[in-house]
Amino acid sequence: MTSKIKKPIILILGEDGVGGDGTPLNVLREAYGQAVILAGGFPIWGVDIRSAEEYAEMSDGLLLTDGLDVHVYRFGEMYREAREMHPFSRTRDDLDFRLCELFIQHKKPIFGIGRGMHILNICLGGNLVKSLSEAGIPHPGSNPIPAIPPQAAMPVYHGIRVEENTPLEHILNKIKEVSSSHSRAVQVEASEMLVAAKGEEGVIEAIVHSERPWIGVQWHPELDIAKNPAHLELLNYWISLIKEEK
Amino acid sequence: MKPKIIISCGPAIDRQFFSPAHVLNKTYSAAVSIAGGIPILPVDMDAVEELMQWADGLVLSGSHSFSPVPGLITPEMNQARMPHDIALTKAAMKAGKPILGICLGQQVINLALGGDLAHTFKLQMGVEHMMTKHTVKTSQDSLLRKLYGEEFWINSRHNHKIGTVAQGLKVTAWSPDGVEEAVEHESLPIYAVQWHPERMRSDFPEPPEGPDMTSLFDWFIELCQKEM
Repeated sequence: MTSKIKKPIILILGEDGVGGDGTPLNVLREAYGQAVILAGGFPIWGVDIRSAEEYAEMSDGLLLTDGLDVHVYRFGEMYREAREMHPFSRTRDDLDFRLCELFIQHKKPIFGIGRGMHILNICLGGNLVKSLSEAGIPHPGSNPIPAIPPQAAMPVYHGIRVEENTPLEHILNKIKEVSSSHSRAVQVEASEMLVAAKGEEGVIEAIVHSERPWIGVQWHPELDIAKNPAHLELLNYWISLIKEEK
Repeated sequence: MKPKIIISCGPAIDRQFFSPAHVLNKTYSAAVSIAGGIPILPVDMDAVEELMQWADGLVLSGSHSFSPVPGLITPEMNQARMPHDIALTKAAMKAGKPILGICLGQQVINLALGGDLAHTFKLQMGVEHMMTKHTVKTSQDSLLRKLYGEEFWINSRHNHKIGTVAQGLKVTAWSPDGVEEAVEHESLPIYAVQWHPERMRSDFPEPPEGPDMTSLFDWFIELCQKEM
């Protein structure tokens, strides 16, 4: 007999890796799961696209984590020169995009971190800046060539400008600075999404849906919870919305 | 609904990952998935009882193998992983869910049921079971006899093995040099092999002489489905 889990089940999707003998690996950084647990969720880790529909059905929320940039064809672009190309994983892109699409279809909650915010925005019809530095957009912590893995780069911190009248305004007002290590950013937010915060030079740092629990942030709230509990409040807020729905 | 199969995973020990991470070879999740299970990896190790009540089966995966040199074997060695895997095993047993142990998984099952491990068997017995292949002989009426017959080739990738066999377990396959290669429980749905059946599938079976062990995963997923 199977029993129900009372807490909101949060499906986390991890990264692809390669083991010492060349075996492909499923990898998940511990900080994501720990943050979900702190915020009152029940984290499970999904790894295989063949079970995408079942994952979407059994989970109450989707956490899309950071990692390699998505391939630009996911937002209708092409690489025109070799130097523009970023390392990517088609397997991971396939899994993340499929789950994001399914959660959108079912109007289920999604929280995107870094790359995860990019995927959420693309799936809802927005797009990305291919490269902040190539586009000549100044932004602290933007790397011409993405660090592999992104977490290998020491994060730079910068301030944010919080937009008024979004559901995240009160929490974001408690956050003075955010970590930054990315080469891409949201260029045009999806029409359904509101911009909740920008960097000091105008790069979009957070997006949120006005009614649905769909949130994307460019920084790593899960790594700075000890430094500033407001980062955890973002996840608390998201999970409280899930509880209302459950 | 397909059965929800929890697959244990371990801490990343490779410095390529930079920050603490959980890792599982995709060979396990692919084998479970292709057999018709939903592979789910655990994250909250304080909630394994709730997890195993909710899930339909448990696959205990193998791990990075620690050195069998006595001076290097410390109680801390397995602390990062063993307590979690044993907790998952006990939770699955409590919930009555089928368990398939692979490599370390067989050792975990033996520990959870009160047996112990032989960390230095390679030195004491003068045999090699790391990155090699050999045959096994199965016992009559065992699952493996039914699926693959009396004798067949398997891969071998372990530095440790079960020592005293736990009460309730019976050894169902032996290597020619006398290592316990598979166990089954007398009354509970618990099965384990010391080799890596998830690497004995598809286009590059290891070793090529061995049977395709996709059918072991098919059989296990079917068992989990029956118990749902």
